[in-house]
Amino acid sequence: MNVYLNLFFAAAANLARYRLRSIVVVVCLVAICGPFVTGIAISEGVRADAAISVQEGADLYLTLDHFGRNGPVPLRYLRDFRSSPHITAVVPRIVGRAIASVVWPANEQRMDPELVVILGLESGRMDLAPWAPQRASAGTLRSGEVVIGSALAAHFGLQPGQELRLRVADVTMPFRVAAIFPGHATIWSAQLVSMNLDEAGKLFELPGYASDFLIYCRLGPGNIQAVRKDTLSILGDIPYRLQTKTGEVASYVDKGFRDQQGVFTVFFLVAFAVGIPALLIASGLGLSERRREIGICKAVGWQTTDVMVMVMFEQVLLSLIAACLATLASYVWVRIFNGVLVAQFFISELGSIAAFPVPARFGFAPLALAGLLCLTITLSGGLYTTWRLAARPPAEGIR
Amino acid sequence: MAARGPTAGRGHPLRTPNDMTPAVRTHQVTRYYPAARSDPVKAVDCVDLELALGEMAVVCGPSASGKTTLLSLIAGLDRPGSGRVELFGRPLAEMSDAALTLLRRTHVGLLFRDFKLLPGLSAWENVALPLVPMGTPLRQRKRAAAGWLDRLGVAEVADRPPEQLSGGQQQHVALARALVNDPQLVLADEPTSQVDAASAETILATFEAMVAHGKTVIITTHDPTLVRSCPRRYHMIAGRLEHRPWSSTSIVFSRCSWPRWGSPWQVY
Repeated sequence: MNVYLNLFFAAAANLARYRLRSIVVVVCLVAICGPFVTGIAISEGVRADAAISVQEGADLYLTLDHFGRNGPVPLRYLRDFRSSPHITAVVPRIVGRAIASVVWPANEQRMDPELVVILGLESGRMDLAPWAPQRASAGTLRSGEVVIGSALAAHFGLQPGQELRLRVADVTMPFRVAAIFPGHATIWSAQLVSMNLDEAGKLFELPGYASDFLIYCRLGPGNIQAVRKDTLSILGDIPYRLQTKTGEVASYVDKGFRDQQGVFTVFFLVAFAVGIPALLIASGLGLSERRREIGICKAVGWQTTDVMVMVMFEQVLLSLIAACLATLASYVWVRIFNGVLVAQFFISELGSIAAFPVPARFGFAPLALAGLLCLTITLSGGLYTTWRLAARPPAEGIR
Repeated sequence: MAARGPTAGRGHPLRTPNDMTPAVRTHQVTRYYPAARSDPVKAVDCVDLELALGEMAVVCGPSASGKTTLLSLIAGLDRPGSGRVELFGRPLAEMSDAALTLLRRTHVGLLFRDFKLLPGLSAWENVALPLVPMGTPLRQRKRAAAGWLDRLGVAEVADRPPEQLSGGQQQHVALARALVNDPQLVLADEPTSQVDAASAETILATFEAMVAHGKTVIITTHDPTLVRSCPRRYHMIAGRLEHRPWSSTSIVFSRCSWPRWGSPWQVY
């Protein structure tokens, strides 16, 4: 163990002795791994945001402003929004709470009424909900039909075809259970009652209105901004609230992920293009000194394996330093320079400079990958050269 | 005598030498270097040499006569073209590179003519270089190196790199490195070429102390002080080694080059 410890410290001392060589190698490795780590980090960031975006649903959520709170949106604006070239879909939605109850025959036990969440969607757009029931006709609920959550169904002991009453203030309406959301649906759908938008409007006494509009924008940069302008022109003087989720980034995801393979190919090509000179530098810079040094070490009793282990420690140290610096440089690149020149490979139609903070995630994986890449480059270059030098008779090395 | 100090108790490729086994034996050793446009250069030509444990021999001769090559062959740094080199009764030709290296680590101390110190390392780190692959802890290495540097009178340069040392100081450091692993055989190539007379006396005393402890020392030199003090003297010329008794000193020196002392006739 002491031998390896000695060799490790000898390797560390060598890095300090050959400062120029160490610096040049580290700079080359950082040049290779910096973009690589940046790419990985941005890729991870985009992927995470994409997941969030998918969960969140629409890109924009439009409501009118009602005394500083969200107010209902008249459905008459639907046509205008849908005609916008920047919008792919607009889904009006009613979300509210109601009291659900069931009327049973007199001889059966009555269950207490339950507070439920009402979700009203346009007939035929139930498929937009990720918790859509597994029923062919679920996308087209007929008049008077609802789909209820599994917990609610269990509470009332309801089955498809039975009746459920919903009450909001003075309005009470009977509905027939068309289907029940599956048990593996999201947990908050358990108390949900989904119905047609028109009937939800009647229930809440707001016919011709929606709680909000779910706006799905076209892919590409600038579309969300364009939709904001469209909204302003459509609604005119009416104050409104347009809430942005992470859709702007998510809109780039598709192309971004499609480009990833190509990007990685580019990075690897760059890595090897720069790596070859790095290899030559790592193995060739100071080769004459190295040959003499190895010859002297062997002359005074160092085995070839001792020399190899010491050089391997050198390469490992260099790789670790380079990987850490590459990660640091990558962090600076993303956080300060917003991933310029790299983010465009992962986020489509971005241009060289992103208009929004480029998402990135720096975890252990980029660091480990960078270290592995550095180690592969340095070891493949350094070990063979060292072995070639160390396997010679010492007299040749010290001559 | 068994190895002591850092080498004690370590396995090595040789039998433990006894008093009857020659420390060094060469038989018809030849080493030619190929030349592009002429006949091969005879660096060492049919050299026979035998030294027992506890003997010191000095080899002198003009420059390029093959002295350094002979030491390289004895140390196993180079392989002879023909002939046989034995250290402590074991032929080097039968030993692998690893075994030869281990032999040098445990039994041989080498002092090179041009010192071959590693730049950037301090003097004590250079001295302790042979101890690194032996697993000697840092503190022990430093102590051993400091001990030898002190013994040779250059303790004050322990922390300085070779670039900041004079030629004489470098020679002392290189000698300390050759001796730090307590070798059975010391091969010193012109060990006093860069030092003054007083330092040469110190170095000679060191060698004599080693011989008194049963070590074997082979020195190549032009230094008449060293030659005078050594009972076994050899003269090497054009790769051939001749044993010269004390009475023929004048003849030996007449063929040597004298960079510092001038003509041997002036010395003697």
